[in-house]
Amino acid sequence: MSIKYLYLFVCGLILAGIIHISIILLIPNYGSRDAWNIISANSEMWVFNNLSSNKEVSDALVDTDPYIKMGACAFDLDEAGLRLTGGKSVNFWSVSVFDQGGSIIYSLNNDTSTDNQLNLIVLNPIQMVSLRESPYQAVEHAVVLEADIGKGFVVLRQFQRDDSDRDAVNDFLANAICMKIAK
Amino acid sequence: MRIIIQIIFVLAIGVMVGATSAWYSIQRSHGIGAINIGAWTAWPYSGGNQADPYTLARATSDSTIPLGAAEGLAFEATRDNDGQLLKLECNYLLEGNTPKAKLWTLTPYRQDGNSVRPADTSSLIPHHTNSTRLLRYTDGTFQIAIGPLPTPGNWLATHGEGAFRLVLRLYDTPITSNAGLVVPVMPKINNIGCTQ
Repeated sequence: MSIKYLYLFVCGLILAGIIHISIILLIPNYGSRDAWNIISANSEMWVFNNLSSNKEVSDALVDTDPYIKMGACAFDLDEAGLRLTGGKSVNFWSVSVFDQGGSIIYSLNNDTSTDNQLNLIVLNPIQMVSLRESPYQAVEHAVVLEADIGKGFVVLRQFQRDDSDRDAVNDFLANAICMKIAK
Repeated sequence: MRIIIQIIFVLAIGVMVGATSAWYSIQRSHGIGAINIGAWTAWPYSGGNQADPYTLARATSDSTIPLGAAEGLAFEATRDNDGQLLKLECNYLLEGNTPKAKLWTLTPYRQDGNSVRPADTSSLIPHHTNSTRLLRYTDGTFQIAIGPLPTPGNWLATHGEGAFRLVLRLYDTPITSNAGLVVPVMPKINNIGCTQ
């Protein structure tokens, strides 16, 4: 009898292992508190949104750096390629490209860019082929990135030293634009 | 009837142990891929697509936007150099230097993930600090007093009670790209007395 229950207990532990692994692997796909859900629930696709001035977003996000102001836009490469442009800023800024699961595909900072100018193009491999065949002017000075993903989002961070450069930081985020290219 | 009881027994163990251990491993341990320097811990792969499943599950279940490798790296400390939990009612001295970075910021957070803020939001008392507003010694090292009592020199004010976390974010730092070649130095966190 006791051996039988030991056997059942071991079966339970094996099942526990399977459930444990399934939960860990499924959270990125089905979680509702991740960055993708917060960003896509509070802004339209292809529209650049200042997250730091959006109260719902800043309340939902935790562990945010008080010196960093953030903006983001959601995109879908199955629809079109993404072009993120903006002004110049001498303050530190950085961009990360995320897939829908919240993994970072690529990141860059203002030293990677040309002349501190924000100009990033994200294309899937098919759009990349058509870009190579007919390069257009938009690509000049742009950081071009190939990502084999569908939906995703880009997050732009900018360092705000103190209140004196608040206007400059807000302008930089307000001038950032997400647009569709290579449809 | 007995077979049904046996199935329920197996299912109960499986669901309870499986779910609890999954929850615990996300909440508590995220040791896979972590680097520890003194009291500080960082997860350099937390955002990348090489992130392990535990780190990814944690990042997507706690409403944070991780930093990319070209952006920076966040170091976190929940304990001082003696291994005691950091408490808001205690005074600490952060001493030493940070790894190379274009800039860094230092912010204390409460348990709920919100930064420690003064009760009066118009207050100009510094509740977080960064590398551009720091007094340093001639050799580049620095000291930051952290605690409720005003202190000359660099002072980071805290207030309230309970445990807190210090997060030191290094922006544009080479340690995300050549980890292993250099041993980064992080400042020490020493307790210099509690008010209670």
